[in-house]
Amino acid sequence: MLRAAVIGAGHIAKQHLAAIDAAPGVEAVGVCDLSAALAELTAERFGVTAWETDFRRLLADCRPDAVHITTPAATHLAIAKECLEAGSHVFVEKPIATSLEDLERLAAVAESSGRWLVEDHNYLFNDDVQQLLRLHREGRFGDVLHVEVQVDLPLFAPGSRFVDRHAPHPAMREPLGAVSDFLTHLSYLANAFVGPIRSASCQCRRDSPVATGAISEFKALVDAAFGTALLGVSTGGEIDRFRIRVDGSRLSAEVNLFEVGAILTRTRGGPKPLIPIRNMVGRGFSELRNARRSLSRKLSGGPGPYEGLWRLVAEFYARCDRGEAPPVSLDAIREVGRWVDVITHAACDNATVSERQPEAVGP
Amino acid sequence: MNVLITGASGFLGRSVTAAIVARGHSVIALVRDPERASTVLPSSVRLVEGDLRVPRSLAGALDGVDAVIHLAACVVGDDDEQLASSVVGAENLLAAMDAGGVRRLIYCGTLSVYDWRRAKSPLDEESPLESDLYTRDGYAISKTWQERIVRRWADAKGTQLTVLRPGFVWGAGNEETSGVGQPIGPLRIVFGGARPLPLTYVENCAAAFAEVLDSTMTIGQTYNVIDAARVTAWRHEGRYLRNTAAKGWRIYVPYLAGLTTARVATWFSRALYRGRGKLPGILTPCRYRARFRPLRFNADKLREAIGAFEAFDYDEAWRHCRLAPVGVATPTADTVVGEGVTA
Repeated sequence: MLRAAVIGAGHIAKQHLAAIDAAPGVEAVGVCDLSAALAELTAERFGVTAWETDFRRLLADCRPDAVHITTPAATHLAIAKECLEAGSHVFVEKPIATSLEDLERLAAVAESSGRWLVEDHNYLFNDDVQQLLRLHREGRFGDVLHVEVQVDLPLFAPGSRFVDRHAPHPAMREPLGAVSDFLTHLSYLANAFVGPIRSASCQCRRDSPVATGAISEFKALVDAAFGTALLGVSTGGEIDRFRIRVDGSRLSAEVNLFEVGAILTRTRGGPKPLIPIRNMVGRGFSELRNARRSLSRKLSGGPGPYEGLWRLVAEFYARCDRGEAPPVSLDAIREVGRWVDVITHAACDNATVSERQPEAVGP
Repeated sequence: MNVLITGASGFLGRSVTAAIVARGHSVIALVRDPERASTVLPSSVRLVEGDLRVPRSLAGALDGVDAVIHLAACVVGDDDEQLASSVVGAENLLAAMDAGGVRRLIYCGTLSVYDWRRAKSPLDEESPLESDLYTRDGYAISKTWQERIVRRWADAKGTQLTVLRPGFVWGAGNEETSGVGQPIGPLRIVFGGARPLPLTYVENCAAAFAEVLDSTMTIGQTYNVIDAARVTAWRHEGRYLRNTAAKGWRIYVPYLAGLTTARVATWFSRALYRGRGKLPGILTPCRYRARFRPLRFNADKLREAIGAFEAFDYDEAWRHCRLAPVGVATPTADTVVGEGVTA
């Protein structure tokens, strides 16, 4: 049985502990948080035997095979480095680091220690995204021309941590504010279909009446190796949506990760005038089927949109057990880091920015 | 006495603050937004800006304070955020009290901490606490943990703690309580209409806090705070519809019919989803019980300690409610709304 520990007992830690609980061959042996009460509460809630307020003591006492780091992004480097050096594999919440340089420092420690370092690319492992990736691998899209990844969430609604004046969400200290919290998700999803980023240009609106100066509407137009991508974050609407649309030369597919099911639009397969009719009828049936599946998911008590995290965590431990490389490679993490870096610079400079190499750093 | 109140600008907090001021104490209100608080609190109250979740914002706030009344609990964000904020907030407050040398704490708990399945009628301070805590909602979990933390602190430091557990606190702007039933469009489903509600009018509840502050014999004790008037759920909903701008029709559903529905829904959910199914709170038996189980309640222990604390009987409370300025009691971030109690 592999031993897992979780550092940081906030909201996302609950998802990690649930994923560990559901994964075969692994047990959570320790929880750590600066708040003793929160650490103890979380441990009690998930039946974890040990809790600590000092992660070094957790590492020494629990000797975990792997550590999940769910603290704010700015602390990831320091904590992950010590976990790797203590001999644990490390599974880090996104974003893994707040700069490309920090990512390289961490990757260097992982490589020198011979431990696995994984960034949480959970949505990549959701059923619907896996279906799109399968279609992509099978060549059903034809050439992938363009991908859109758009998150619509009322991030600046009253009561949101993103507009909390006293205890703001840690992402609000990052250059793109709330957008920084989602950019990794947008980037790994787009990267999976159109490959490495070459350049990006961004448009930002900062017109929220409650989050003064913060980016409220964000769009990044990306030129990537195999196509273009449009990444977006919108905070103004009231509908929660996480939309991915992949446009290929033969097939378009769209999913909403907060619901269930893909909608496919084909460009072949019958007399040309009848193809739109066939697609419309197909979309109608798909919507009905997806509505039933979405309702079932809500009532199932399962992971919901975090299904990908459960799958990724289970796969991570299965491969750890077999001594195989993890499901998210260090190269993939670096590639996504470059997406985030290029887009962040383009948004900050309000210019088109091309890929840059990280400055040379020591481990 | 210098008394610091957390959650002072909330629904209950405003009345508690006024009651403490009226007794001649010097009140310091720890608030996140002094500008807003200044519009709802007496001008004699000293406002200190601070956030219980941010320890550095509490530095020095408790210097010279003789007693703390802790009413604040977080209601923003989802269950998990509320839980983290309320628990961490209590932890930070106690650390600041240690730093400031404050030895007296009156903590606002809730009837939600009881085990409503095992409790026998009448529910009193000796009733068992929830044994299956994590099946309950975030409010019950966070209040149970808050109470655990303050009790441990009092035991460890030998400090003077009194725990008050109010029932459903109601008043102008918060006339309806979650313990009555479930609104569905214009329909007001009243579960077990004949059962008594553990109500406490906000001014009566505030008076209990003020009395307890001045009573040394309440130190180390736990009290339920429930008005003496016996009011059924059906009657309270009727008064609510008659006396406020709310519109709707009361529908009576026997308690057992609702509980049976919840049990059947849970059985189907478990069968369909191999034990993992998730249902709305009202269809989860333990949460349904915590809101609607027909029990008798008493606050005899509190009355023995401080005497009758109710300045308003039920009818007078409604008349008083109608005199309160409209809109002042709109729920705020300092107002707690959970499965069992509104404080």
